Amino acid sequence: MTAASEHAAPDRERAETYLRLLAEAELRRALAMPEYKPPRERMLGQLVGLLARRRLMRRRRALVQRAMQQQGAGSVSAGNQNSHASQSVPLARAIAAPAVIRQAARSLHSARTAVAAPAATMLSAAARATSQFGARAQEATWRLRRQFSRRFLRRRRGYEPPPAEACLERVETLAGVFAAVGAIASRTEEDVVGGLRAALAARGRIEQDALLDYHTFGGVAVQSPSGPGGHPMRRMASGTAAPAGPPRTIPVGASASGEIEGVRVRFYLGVLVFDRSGVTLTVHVRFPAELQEQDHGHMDPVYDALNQISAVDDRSATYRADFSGGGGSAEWYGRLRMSPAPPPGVRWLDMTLPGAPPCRLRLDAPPRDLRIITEPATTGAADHFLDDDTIQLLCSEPADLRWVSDGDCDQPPLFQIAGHFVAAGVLGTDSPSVRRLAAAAARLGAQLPESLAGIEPTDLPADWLSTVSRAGCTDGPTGAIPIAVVLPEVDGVQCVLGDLVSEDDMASMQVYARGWPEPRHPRGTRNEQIWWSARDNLGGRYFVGEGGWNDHNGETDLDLEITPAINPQARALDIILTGPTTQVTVSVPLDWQEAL
Amino acid sequence: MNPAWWAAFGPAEAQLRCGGAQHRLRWADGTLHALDHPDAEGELVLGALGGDTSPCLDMIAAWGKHCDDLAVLAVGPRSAADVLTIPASVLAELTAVSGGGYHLLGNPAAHAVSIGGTVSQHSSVSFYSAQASRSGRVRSHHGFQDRDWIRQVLTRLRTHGSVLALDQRRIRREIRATASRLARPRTSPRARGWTGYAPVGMHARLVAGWGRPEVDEARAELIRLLALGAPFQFRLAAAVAHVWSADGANAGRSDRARPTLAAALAGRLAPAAANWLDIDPDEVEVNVHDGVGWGELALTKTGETGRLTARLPVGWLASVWAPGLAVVDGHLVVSVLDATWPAARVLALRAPGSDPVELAVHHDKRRWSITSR
Repeated sequence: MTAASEHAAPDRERAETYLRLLAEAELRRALAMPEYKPPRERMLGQLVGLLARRRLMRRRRALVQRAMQQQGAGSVSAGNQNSHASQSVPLARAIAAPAVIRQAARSLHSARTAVAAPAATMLSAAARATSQFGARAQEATWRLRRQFSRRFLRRRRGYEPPPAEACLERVETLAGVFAAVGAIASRTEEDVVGGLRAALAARGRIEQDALLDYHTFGGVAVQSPSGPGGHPMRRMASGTAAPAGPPRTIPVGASASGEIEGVRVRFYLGVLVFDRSGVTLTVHVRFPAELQEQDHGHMDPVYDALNQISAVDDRSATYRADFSGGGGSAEWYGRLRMSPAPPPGVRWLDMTLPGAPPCRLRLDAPPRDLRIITEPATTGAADHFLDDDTIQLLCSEPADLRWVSDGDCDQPPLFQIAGHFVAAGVLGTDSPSVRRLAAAAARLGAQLPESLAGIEPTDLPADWLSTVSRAGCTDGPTGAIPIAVVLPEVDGVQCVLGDLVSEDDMASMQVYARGWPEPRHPRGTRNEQIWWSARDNLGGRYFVGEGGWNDHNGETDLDLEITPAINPQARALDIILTGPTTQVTVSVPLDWQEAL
Repeated sequence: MNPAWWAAFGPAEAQLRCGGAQHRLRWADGTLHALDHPDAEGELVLGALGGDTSPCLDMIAAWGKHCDDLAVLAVGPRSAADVLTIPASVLAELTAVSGGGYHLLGNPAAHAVSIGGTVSQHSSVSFYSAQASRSGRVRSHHGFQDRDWIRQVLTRLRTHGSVLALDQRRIRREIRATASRLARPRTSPRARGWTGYAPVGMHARLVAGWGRPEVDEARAELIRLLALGAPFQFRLAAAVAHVWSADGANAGRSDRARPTLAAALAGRLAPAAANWLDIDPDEVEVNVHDGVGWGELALTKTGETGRLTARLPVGWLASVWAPGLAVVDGHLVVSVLDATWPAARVLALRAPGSDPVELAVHHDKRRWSITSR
């Protein structure tokens, strides 16, 4: 099998037809299911409301009755002289009732007005006290309540989706995977999934307000190919050519100790990136180990402190830094966007970090001289998808493909998706990735679906076995490397590698990109047409997944996660970016700096 | 010469509330008419020039707009037994869609939040939201979270009053559905409780692009058309199928829609064939027939079950399936030779592989039946 045959473009029409026919079959399956009756979410609340109203009405009735009795007694005593008084009492009561009610209402109103102000003050004070107490109690009992709800309440209160959701989910997942590997257009994915969702909703097989869902459906795409794009998270890859001139980057790699709200923290400033929209600086903030397990429910102080960072240059010009990123209980990381952008010729910046002495960044530092290789891509997106998930399966960490198997089938979803790949013509039965999947199945003692039964297994690559053997290792080196390298353009995408931070169980890398396709995780499925991978000099292979992204005007900040932990014996790491036609590899010497 | 695609359809009527009165919509001879608007055309012109429109005329305009909309075939009925119900609550929300109050996120100044969730390879929720606060700062949240965290965020957003009028039910559903997909908790501690923030500028494009009116309006129109009832659903499906058939206006572009049309044929022939031959509908394979003639059809026996393979023209959907002629007294109708409702002359198969025979059929207001062979 040659690389070229592995990389054959899938027949989009065939894949789309297959998917649409599958959607029809799933609709038929759903129609055989009973209609979905959504749970009455507020039944208990309504019941309580009804009981409360009933009680209130009973009180009002009693009040009116008492008033009428008093009025009636007065009338009777006054009318004792009258010969037909006894017959007229009910009539008199009836006539007097509205007046009595009005009088009672007036008295109540005046009484309420008199006590309103003090009562309101008292009530609001009580409410404040209750809410403060409630907040304290909530905080104090949070862990307990969480454990309790996990153990006892979740099952009872858990959302039970309509059974037909499984039919929709299978089509959704497969459509997502097909789109991710380029077997169908993203627009087709939306069309098929949106159409099935609406069809199921219109037949009451799923919640009917799915008819109003934001994913559009229908053949409008045929009428107007550039028509509405549906949900903005489903924006197509921008595909815009990068503007003239590549971005520029400078390695910084500076650490400092600081303080936020009385808590000692460590700052690490990694890499400066200069591009058309401004200058950004990668930043990490690490809490002391003893504080990492605390519940940092309110992160605003950290966010605010990071937004108060400022800088001054060698010409005494000042800069503000806006933070973009996030954090949790262990650390915060993201980018500082300098405002205004430092002009050319500035030699250094003194950064003022919270509770830390000024930290000088040299802007005239030369970029790192790293070996970069550009070559044609030899692996297709579908093969890569299958390979990546097969390795994860071997590592006993199967990818979550959101697939509820139909009937008694207990095969891993990946096997079933591979079966659909072959049936839809996305991959051939002689495809190396399918044969490697067959080998993995044999190694795991699992049975492939009928459509893949005749596949001849091939040997598993050595680097796969190395990844499998290192799965779950926690011996990774601790440190950071400010890579600071601008990669050559890969299929309309230009990336700048920021800093690589390694920990005992994984590593992360911050990347700045122009023209990056988005979103990267539509409905849980990776977009596979441009992907990252890594290999060390010992032949170890690593998964490189995305931990988050932030897009602004075609410029994207990516946070990549590298697993398993980097081999402590490794001396270099090849970071590889592969697009539909081009692949770029940059070799990074692993000279770790003690950073955080 | 082929009869008109609508020749085997009888007229259909529906009522709708218009200008405080019940008005009638009538479909006849392939066209929808607003009976209580004698100068409908003039009113439509005035409406297009900015004058007042009415629900009746909106419906006429929507019908014209969706006559080539393939979504009708994706959503619409597959057989007479396939009943679509559009609940009143959905129709009520559609009023909000077209009223403009729905697109809170279309306005960057609006205080709104939307949350989307997907599941990453580590079974955590890839969580996204954009929230415009009263101060005008947009905060984005994206990253991997567990479901407890999502609940906390929702509570906080509600407390801060940021989840205002924007379809909270949808957000709840999204969150519930996402949470239900979680198989196991996130393993990596570094991403737990991760919250992201970004300055306003970063999300201006995202917010501005949200909830595009044209998408919502097209969807709302189609749902309203489907809500007119089954007779109209079949007639609209027939109109769409005709437009994309060899005789239709979009015949030249039908190559792009071929997968959709093949699925539309398969989804409708399968229940008809299952009814005709008592076979598993999943064992029916249909392709679009482009050549002359009615197409072809064959049954291959595989063990106990049979597999039906067919090639039919897209026009079959319009002239045969939609008027309810697919299976008549044990015959699969493949073509209509002549029709003047309630009578028609059709070409039908007694069994797969047999030669088609000409039949005269008649509609007795309930179903079609053979009157002479």
